[in-house]
Amino acid sequence: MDEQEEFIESVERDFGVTRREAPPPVSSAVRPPSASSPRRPWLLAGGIAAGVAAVVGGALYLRSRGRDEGESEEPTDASAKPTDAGSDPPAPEPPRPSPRPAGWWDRVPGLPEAPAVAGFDLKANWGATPTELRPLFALMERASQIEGSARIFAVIAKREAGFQATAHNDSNWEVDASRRAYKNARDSNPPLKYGEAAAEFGSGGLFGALAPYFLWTAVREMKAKAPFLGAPPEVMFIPRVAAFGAVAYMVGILSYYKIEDHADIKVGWASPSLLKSGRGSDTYKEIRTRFFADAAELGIDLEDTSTIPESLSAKAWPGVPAVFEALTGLALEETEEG
Amino acid sequence: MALLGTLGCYSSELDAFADLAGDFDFLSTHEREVWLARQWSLMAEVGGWRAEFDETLAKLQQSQVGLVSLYSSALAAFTAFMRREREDTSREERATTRTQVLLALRSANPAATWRVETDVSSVPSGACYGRAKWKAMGVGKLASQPGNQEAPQDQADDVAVIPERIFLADEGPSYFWTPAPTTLLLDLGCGWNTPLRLSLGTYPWVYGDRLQAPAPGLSWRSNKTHDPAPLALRIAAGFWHAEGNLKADAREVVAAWKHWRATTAPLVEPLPTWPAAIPEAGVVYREGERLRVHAGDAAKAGVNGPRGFICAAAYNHVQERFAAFFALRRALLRARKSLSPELRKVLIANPDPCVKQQLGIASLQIA
Repeated sequence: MDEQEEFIESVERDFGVTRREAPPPVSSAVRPPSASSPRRPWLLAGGIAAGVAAVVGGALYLRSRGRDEGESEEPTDASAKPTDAGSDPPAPEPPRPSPRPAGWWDRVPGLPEAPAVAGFDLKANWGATPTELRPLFALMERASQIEGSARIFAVIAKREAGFQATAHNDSNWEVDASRRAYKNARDSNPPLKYGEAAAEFGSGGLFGALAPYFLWTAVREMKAKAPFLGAPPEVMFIPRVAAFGAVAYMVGILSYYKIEDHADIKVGWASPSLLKSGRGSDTYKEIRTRFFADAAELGIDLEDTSTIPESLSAKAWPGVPAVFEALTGLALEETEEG
Repeated sequence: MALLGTLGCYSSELDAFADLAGDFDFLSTHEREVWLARQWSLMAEVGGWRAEFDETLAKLQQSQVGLVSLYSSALAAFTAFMRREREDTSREERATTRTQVLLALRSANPAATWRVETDVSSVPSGACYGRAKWKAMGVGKLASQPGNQEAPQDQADDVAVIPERIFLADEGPSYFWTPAPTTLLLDLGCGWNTPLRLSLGTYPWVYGDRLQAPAPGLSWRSNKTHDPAPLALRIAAGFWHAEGNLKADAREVVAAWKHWRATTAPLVEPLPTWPAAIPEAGVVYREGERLRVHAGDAAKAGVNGPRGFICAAAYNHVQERFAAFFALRRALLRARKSLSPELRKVLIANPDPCVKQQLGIASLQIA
């Protein structure tokens, strides 16, 4: 089993993806703009673009299930453990992708600017992080209420995409990975309107998401109302949309894995299973080495506790709808029927 | 007085020598990975598995995880390469024992595996194989064999396998050692009359008196469950990966390097230098810190001296391994403030006074 397969398997294992009926046929593929893809930084630097949204849906769905069973809508408890998949209730009818109006995603605003995060320090301990992206990372921290995450997201975006929002890895290897991801997970997740396109997409965006997993972001919590079920994979190129997938993914990592320091977050970004069976492996160590080197190269001091606490926490996570709206400017409920 | 470089604590010549492997910024992932890939490429080239490595590297470069798994992936490629030709059935035990001994050497002193010298009685099976099958055959039993239905089984049990050494004896003096009189116990069970000496940092050339091609370490075949050659490569590669490099006591490596330099310099310095005005086919030239065989085979041409013949391929490989160790050590020392906590912990635990000097927790008087 190669690392990508291990990653995919770990997503399903660690987050207890439930079995469902086979999804209805998906629509014809929409080709990604791979021919004009401007940057593939990982091909130059051997980067880790890690299927960012791979477990996002899984993590959030666990919270949703808790509410279904009568629990309150408290923010995620970071100490919660993954629920045993075997205890899941019988699968309901397969949900259908939420239709979106034409041009729906065009309504997502451009990059936020400093006033959008008034009071957030956009100067201290950012190193060489592009100034135009700092408000976005700050907004991610503020919306997710994961204190200190902004600069961690900056380090991750440097590694995953070289700060290029339209980074796209459509190499044979990567497309094979997205095909496997789609094939392995489609029976256990709601159908994707652009599933075949996602399978052929590879990965991309500011945080290097593997397309099928990205489009399944938040299905655990939102089920058929998850925001990307009817979206083409190119939505990953929209920085605010990619940002939502990234914060949701970080919540999963912080909530369901033992995170000993900031570098462990990056390890989880590459492959959650490395935080369990792979801890201490050569690959685990190398990813950590890379993370510290990336932070140093970027000029972000990970030990500056005035901007990055010693440990990050997702205990104050406000939930998918609030964070989605804060980041994308769109309200989930107004989009259900287009 | 010229300022000493990062490695000046060990030798004033060492910084310049380390440049043979290339200087790089450890905190630049791109530079670090390019450097690492080059080390593996060189190793694969001399080992004859370059095609397998290139294929592995190409796949990694396409993947999202990139080169983070270079170490394990390259080792896996080498393991597969070595397993194409397994140990003979009658010698399967040899691969097992070799592996056990290498593991024992590594665990006995992880900081000093570049060049190991040990009493063979301190390692598994006394660095012999075949001993477990030794069984004296009684005369009476032999006499009873004819006509005995169980004779074939008895014969199988009683086959006397003569114990053999699992490694060659580097008796020295060689290019890696000048053995001092030793009080180490010798185990004559399979012919050892010297301590076991292996230069694992320069794998696959592990013996200082056998620097011809093919390299001896490449003949360490695998059996179904044990892979001594990949294990040896893992140990060697550790010296050009961060954690293994920082664990190593560089004083040991410096001592080995100085011996190597002292014994090879008289052979190399008289060589004509490259570029040559009129290059001659088959002639060995000195090109910086490397040897160059013009229109000839680096596996066959080389230099000869009182300690034996060194083919150009082996010479260059040994030079590269020393240089890689020091180049990485230098890069790590420069980046010491931004290393991961676990690497910093290893660095601080290193007993080398030169490291402590770099960390500012000791001062040394340079003679």
